[in-house]
Amino acid sequence: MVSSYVTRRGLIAGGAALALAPAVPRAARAASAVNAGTGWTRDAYERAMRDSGRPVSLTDAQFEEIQTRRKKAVSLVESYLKERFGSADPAVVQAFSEVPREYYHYYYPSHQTMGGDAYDQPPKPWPIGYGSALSDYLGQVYMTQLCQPKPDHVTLEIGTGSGYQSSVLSRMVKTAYSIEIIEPLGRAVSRIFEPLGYDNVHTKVGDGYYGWPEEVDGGFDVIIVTCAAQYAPPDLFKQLKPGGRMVIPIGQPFKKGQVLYVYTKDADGKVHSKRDMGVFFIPMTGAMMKLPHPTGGAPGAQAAPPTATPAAATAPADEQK
Amino acid sequence: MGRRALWALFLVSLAAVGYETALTRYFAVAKWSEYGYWVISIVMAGFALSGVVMALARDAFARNGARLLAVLPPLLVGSAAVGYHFVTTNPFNPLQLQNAATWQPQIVNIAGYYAALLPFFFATGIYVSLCFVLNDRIVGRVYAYDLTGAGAGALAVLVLMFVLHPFDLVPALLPPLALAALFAPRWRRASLAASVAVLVAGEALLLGDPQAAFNDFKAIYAPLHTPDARVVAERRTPRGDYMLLDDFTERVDTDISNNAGMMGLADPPRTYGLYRDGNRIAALPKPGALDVGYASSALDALPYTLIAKASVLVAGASGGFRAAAPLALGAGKVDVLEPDPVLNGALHHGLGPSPAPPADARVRVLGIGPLAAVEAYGPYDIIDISSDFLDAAEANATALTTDALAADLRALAPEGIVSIPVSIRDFPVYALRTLATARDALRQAGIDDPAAHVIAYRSAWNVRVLLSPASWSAERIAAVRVWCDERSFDVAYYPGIDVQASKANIYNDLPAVSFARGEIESSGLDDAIADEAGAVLHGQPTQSAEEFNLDPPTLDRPFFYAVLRLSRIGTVLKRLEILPQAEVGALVNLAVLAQAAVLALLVLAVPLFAPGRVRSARENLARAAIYFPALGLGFLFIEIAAIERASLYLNDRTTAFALVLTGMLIFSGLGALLAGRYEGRERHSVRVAALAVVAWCGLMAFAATPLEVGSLAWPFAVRAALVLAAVAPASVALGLFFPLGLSQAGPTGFLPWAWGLNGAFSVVATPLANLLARESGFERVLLAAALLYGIAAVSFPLARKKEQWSPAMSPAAD
Repeated sequence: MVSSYVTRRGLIAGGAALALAPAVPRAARAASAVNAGTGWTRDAYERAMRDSGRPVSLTDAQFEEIQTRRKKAVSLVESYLKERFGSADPAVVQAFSEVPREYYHYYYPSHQTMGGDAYDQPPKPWPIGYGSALSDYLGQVYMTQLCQPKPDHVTLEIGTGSGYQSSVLSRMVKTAYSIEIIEPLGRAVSRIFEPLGYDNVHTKVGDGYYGWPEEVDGGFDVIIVTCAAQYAPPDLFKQLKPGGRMVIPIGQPFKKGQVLYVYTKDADGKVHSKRDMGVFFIPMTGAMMKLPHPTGGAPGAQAAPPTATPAAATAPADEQK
Repeated sequence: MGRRALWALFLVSLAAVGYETALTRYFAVAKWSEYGYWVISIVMAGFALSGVVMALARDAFARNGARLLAVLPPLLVGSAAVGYHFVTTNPFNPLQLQNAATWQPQIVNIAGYYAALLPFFFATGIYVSLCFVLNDRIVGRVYAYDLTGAGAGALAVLVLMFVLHPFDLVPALLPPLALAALFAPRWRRASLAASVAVLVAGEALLLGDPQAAFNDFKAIYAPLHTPDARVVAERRTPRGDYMLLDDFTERVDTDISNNAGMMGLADPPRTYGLYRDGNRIAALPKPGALDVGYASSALDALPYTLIAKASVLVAGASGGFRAAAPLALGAGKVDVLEPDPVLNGALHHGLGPSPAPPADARVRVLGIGPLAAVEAYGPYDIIDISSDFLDAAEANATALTTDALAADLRALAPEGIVSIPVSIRDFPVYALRTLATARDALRQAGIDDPAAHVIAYRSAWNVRVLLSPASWSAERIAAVRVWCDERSFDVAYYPGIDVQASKANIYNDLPAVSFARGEIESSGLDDAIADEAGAVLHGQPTQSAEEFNLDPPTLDRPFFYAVLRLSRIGTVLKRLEILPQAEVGALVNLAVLAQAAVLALLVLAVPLFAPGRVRSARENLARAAIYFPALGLGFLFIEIAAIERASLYLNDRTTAFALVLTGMLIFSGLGALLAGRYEGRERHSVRVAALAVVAWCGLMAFAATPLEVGSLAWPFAVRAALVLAAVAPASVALGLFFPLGLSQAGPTGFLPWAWGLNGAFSVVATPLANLLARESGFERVLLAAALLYGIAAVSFPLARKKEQWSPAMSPAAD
């Protein structure tokens, strides 16, 4: 049965095969990284889709409509990040404009592309099958900027999903690793990076609980964990570099966004966390903003830890906002 | 229509209630259970609409009654089968309702459910109301067959749930519908042949290509699709469909310190995962020793470091790990409560390949709830509520009420500790509400300065609130702070805390946000719980108390997930996207109530737009417009309150639901059967019955609770018998009102209109009772029911004129 979220626009006509085509041999793949801003044509899109085992065809008009929406989406992303963070990271905006989102709009169980829904306004999450969703792009760029990725960074993502997040990160960092626990999804998505020339993305299907210790010396600068239970796996903290950030989104995937927990390690190796609600709430401005504590500063800063001496007998604070 | 033909009505009512129950089970497993309410509203809408149609065309239906009674059984079978098929193929994803950009297509899907289910329930309503119309002289007997059939249906589906998967219940309920053709007054053979043919086709449709499946965003979906995942055991019960999974994602799921690796402590071990209706409820151990090496890094470990060799009561065994962990932390003996029968069985006998934990003389496993345990046993040094206990069963919410915590405090040794878990993943405000509950519990236990008897500490995702009958000493507080610091936990409150100073050492930043304004109010490190904890414990106003409902849950109003102020529905809807799923139930109730109210008004208005059909004096119409709605509301109010009270008493909502529903239906059916004895004394009989109902409501509201609490530890069978004994007399009285009222109707559209009114206001009753209970408690629901039956007594319709019988009034009996 056709699911209700597949719109007429999203069902690109005709050529969608019902079975995955065999992978194209390595020598025949696209020669260089695809940039949605330059050189990304309808032919390039169709070729990449075919090479990833998801053949599809669309008209010039359909393709151009997507690119028109992409330009508007880039502006929206920039103003969104500025509103939430105070400024938009140019690398994040560039990566967003570079990675062709229509390539990731795909419903794997029934092999249906929904590329025509890319860069939708307002942005919304899209199911891709197997209990996974392509999150709305505003939430994704928010999380990307929150991770503070740098060009020399190595990232790890537990929960590859559509592969979009890893793709965006891969435009900004040295290497992106990603593990997917759901087998049919992981196998299918592992094929999508090579046709775009994203050769710094490495994926596998399996248990992400122990991270990816065998590949990476020195650990990861950024770790994203999309399927955490009541705690973050201890081994991932071991693989988090000093100064690194672990981000754990919490909440069901169809809300406008998710609560993000950001974990860092201090100089003593102790872990600190921050609950980030920036997707849902904007920062308060003006005199009513609560002032930071005088000794506060960068996350992880702390005064001397408590000792086993009696606490000062002061009355509890009685704050009202 | 003879008695034999009434057996057809019995079967149709049986199947209809069974089908309704099967649909709620489908929704609980395939989607999420709060959407089962929507199903029930569709059910009742079908009945109410049938009453309207019957009222408008009563004579035509009566003239063709025999024909319809032959045609309807195959129609019912077909509409039931096709309706269920389209329900299972409906791509409704309730998760998308909480996003302003994705909810619209889901409304279309909801409309799809109406289109799929209304035909069956409408046709059922036509069948039932036709039986009333054709037998308006023996209304009591008709109602008795209807009610007892419904009661039998509730019982039948309960039994089936032990045997069949929830997705297979509907196919099993189609045969009784087909069998109804056996009792058709005329054209019996043709009716039976058609029914059997449609039954075969319907079963082929449902069993040949079954479409029902878990929503792929339920917790079980991902683990089930990992490499080498297997289902290694399964149990089917009315409480739920249990599946034990073996896959690499399954581990003990407990909040451990982020520094556990640094501390050299073991990880939570690999386990099996136990799921009920697709939701994870516990980790069960793999063969080998029960590994609790992680225990001292867990958030819930703190109390065990403060009291050596403690005597412990743990609520919620978490598969056995929460019995073993206290021992590993130095406890002397452990009473562990596991009310879930499957989990309790696993502790004694294992489940599938998961072995039972090794026997230990220091551990005693009890199948009762915390209220019963503290009444019967103790005193304890530590009463520890497991973090997964609240969500393991609806009845477990009573453990976090003021009354239960006060009882816990009374069962503690003088320096003992109650340890209460609160998840703050979704809403940190739940921690503040728990602190408000703690304050009331301490006061109820005779403590005048609650703030001196509370400590609250937390991780990023969970808070633990510790209560003690003794005020917290400086030494204990210092020990708590050191322990938390070692593990990167934060102490959000202790007596004497300097909140500003404590924020300099925060490990888990929790910024304050304004729910009303949609703004983050902090910059830099903050602890939104610490900001308000002191004020809450001193009973002072706070911003959170202004924006949310922090009134503590009580046994009368045991709703933990009820922090939204529904009086500010505009703000609530604006923040729909961040609401926890557990809070959405109240909004579903509001939506159902709105729909039900519109439908009820439509039914009420029938005499206005078709006065010639109803044909009754204006005064009698006015009386009926009050009487029958009062019955529809009152009966459901009593039923809902009784289910809740029984759920507390039996510590099992599923059994309570089945017992109360079946008992009320069957005994009110008996009452309906007795109604015929009061011919000529209808008004007096209604007034006596109303007095009995009012007295019963008063007794339940004001006198029953101490008796219930005092007998909580009695054997389950005895308590179940007492529940039945409690509902039986009231139900007999309740069964009199409807047939006595209908007996005043006569051969006009008045009877089906009255029947439709009763049905329409029954639809209103369920969400209204739930909302009333949420806001004011179940005592108020019972008092409202008493008031409604009092109103019914004074608004009893006037006697119809006795008419000469003529053959045109009813079809030939067989």
